[in-house]
Amino acid sequence: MDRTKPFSLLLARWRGFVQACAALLTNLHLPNFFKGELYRGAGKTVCVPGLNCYSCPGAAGACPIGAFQAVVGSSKFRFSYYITGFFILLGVLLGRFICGFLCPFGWLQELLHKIPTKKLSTRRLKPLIYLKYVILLVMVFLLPVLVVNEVGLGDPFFCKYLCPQGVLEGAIPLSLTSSSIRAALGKLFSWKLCVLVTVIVLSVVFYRPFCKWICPLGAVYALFNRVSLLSMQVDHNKCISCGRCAKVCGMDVDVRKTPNSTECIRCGKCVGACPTQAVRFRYGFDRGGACSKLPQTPIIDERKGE
Amino acid sequence: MKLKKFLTLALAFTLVLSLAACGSKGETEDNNTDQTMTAEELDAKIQDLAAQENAIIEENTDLWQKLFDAMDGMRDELPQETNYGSYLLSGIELVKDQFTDDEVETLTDGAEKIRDLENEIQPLQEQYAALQPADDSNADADAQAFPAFTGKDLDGNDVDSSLFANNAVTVVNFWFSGCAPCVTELGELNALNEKLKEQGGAVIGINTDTLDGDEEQISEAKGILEKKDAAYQNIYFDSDSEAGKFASSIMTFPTPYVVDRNGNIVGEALLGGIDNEDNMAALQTIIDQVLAADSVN
Repeated sequence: MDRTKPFSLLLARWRGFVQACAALLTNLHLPNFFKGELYRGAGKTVCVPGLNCYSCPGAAGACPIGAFQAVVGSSKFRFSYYITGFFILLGVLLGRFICGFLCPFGWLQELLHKIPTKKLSTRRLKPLIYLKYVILLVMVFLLPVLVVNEVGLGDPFFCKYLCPQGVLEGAIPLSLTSSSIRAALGKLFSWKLCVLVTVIVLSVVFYRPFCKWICPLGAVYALFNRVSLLSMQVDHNKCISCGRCAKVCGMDVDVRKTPNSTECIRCGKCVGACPTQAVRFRYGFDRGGACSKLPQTPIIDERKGE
Repeated sequence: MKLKKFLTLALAFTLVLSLAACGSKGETEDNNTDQTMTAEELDAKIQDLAAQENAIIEENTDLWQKLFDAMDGMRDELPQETNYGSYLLSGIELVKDQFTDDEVETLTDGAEKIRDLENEIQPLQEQYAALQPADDSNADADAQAFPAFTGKDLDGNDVDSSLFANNAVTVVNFWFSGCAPCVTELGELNALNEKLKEQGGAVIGINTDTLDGDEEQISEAKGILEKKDAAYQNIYFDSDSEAGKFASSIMTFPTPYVVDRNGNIVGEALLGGIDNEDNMAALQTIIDQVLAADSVN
């Protein structure tokens, strides 16, 4: 166990680097930004793990949420088994670790949050976290399936009406290089630009507001957090109940009480904050293990206490 | 391998001969490959030859229709022929047991004539295409020609880039079956086609799913067009042709292009459906401009 602890710390410490690499790999076709073209090769038949618009000139793969809507909204299919299987696979393998480490839009919100201003807590807005499940169910699944035209085609409602990532990665770069796309921008673009600006402003004062309240992809992975092979583990024998882990958490999770909360994005800030290295990432089937099943209020070793 | 060598030699020989034919001036007044022919003359000649082809089929419409129906079922077994006459001949060979000897004779005779006419048309078309941008002094310096193609419409009739010459203005609309906004505006496009018909124009649809003649996609596209009562012509061609590459480079759907009689794209591509008032107005402006220019010439 001692051998793995430094790895948890290392992972948490290098998170920004991993996020940058993931964002770059997800949008690998950089020259397309200048050419104003989309990559449309075989890579686009596969989904990327994070929320990353298919219409981003650099995008190396498809956005799973966009792909899901495209399939269920088509006239031939009512449900996408391929994308659902992808969700289950990634959900079980990584869960919301994807939000914390791999999602480019999550990374953007975090970078914005580094802008030094007064930061506000989202604790009191907790009920809003359920909004993302409603958006997942209604905009990503029900509306594309049910609201169809005469030949059975539905709109990708989330992409079309709400997703700020589409404006940021798709509409803005494409319209910069193409005058005809600029000419085609209308009310929908204005509306989604407002959404984007709102998300950007909120991200400066709140930590990851989009991930907490809106993101349907985050909602999918959240559902798998409890059964994911990757989880947080708290060694209650080492815990001194100092509360730093809960204090440092941007997602309002108390890792000691709910190590596998649906809100935990596995960012590992608690790992880094813990003075006794009681919190760590664990990967495998023997989740929970003996350690976290110990009493919630552990016996504090006075010699270690502060 | 031997066949290939032989073909290469034969081709080289024909090329030499045809060059020699061009070089000997005045000997054949009506030489089709005369390089001094202008685009208009070439076009007229092509139209004339195409009309002759049509006349052959019109002589026995019912019989030919029967052949087309019979060939429809055998499409997979038919070879990929660039010459329509040869294509028909191989088709006749495949389905001749469904016809009487007399009928087969009439069809074979007609198909052979068509083949010969096609052989005349093809070099003319190449010349026409080559002449097109240089010859057209009225066109803007930055006029972009709609890439050349030979293909079919969704009912299986042959089409090629010369179809633009039939109309003062052609609105080419790129769409695909899974595109909701594209499907939504099919009714409006049909109305536009009806309106343009009176002004000497037409709407042509290109469903990018149907490129290369995918049977399943064609029947789906036809089903959608039927449901939306869109009766205007929809065509396809090979995806590796110039026009195919052009179609594959389009990223936004629906995209209508306005093409003039000379096959040149006029104005910038207009993105978005014409069920949107602004888009329709912008499209109409370009259409009017092309119609006005055409009536002057």
